[in-house]
Amino acid sequence: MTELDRILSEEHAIAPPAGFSQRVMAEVHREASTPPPIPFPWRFAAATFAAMAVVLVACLFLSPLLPTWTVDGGAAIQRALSRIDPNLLAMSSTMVFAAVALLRYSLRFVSF
Amino acid sequence: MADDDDLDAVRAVVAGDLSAFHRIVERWQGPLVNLAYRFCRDRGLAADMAQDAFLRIFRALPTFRAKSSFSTWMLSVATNVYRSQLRRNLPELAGLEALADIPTLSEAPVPTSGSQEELVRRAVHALPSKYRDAIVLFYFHEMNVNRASESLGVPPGTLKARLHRARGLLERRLRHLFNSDTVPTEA
Repeated sequence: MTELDRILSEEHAIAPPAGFSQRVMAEVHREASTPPPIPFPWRFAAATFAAMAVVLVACLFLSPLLPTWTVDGGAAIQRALSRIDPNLLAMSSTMVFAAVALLRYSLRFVSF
Repeated sequence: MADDDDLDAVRAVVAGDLSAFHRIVERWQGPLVNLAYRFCRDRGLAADMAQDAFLRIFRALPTFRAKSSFSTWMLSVATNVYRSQLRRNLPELAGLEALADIPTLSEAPVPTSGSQEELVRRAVHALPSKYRDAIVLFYFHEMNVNRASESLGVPPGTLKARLHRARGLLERRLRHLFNSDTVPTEA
């Protein structure tokens, strides 16, 4: 054993302060009596995200036709829906849901 | 036997018997306070850090899966608590400044035994945190690399590399206290 080993090994032990375990147990009891944190409302959040996605997609594809709606609402909506490219809609929806899924996965690594 | 007692206490706590945690605290308060003291060198702060560690252990008990011994797991949790608290309370810069304060060969008086030990401990605490942590845990675990590496959560090889680097830094800084062949060796 070297001199440095000897010095670092011979650390003088200190005793816990008086009443230490009682203080710890008091904190433990307080901790146990505290109600658990309210979990993040994932169902509500998911529904909100989905609704936002629908509104976003609707705004994206229907907004150029807004003036027309005021004149001929029903027919304008039908025309607008017929103009939507299904592939583009599918791609947009996929991107929105992927963004939501990515957001949810990222939130696993943070605490509230 | 002690591990069996710990496991019994853990099961009781998880089942809702809080008084069983008192047995864990009574048994482990000494080691946890002393480990905290080795990190911070302040008795009052060490007690506060150990209390926080016990609280964290209490919260984490349901996640204990007995893959390792309870003592290993508990010391690992406590080590993480201590390192986090030191990062918050003692910025790395303070350590580097302390290193600069340690007298070098030309200006140091001939050290007495007490001041020699103090210089060594100051030099250890002035090391960058990953080297300081390696040294602290290595000697806390009585120079057992495997147990120290488990507490630190790194592979034994990584701990050995950090110990080697830490010794190099200490040797350079404390050359006036020790001959070059007196640096510590791994167990």
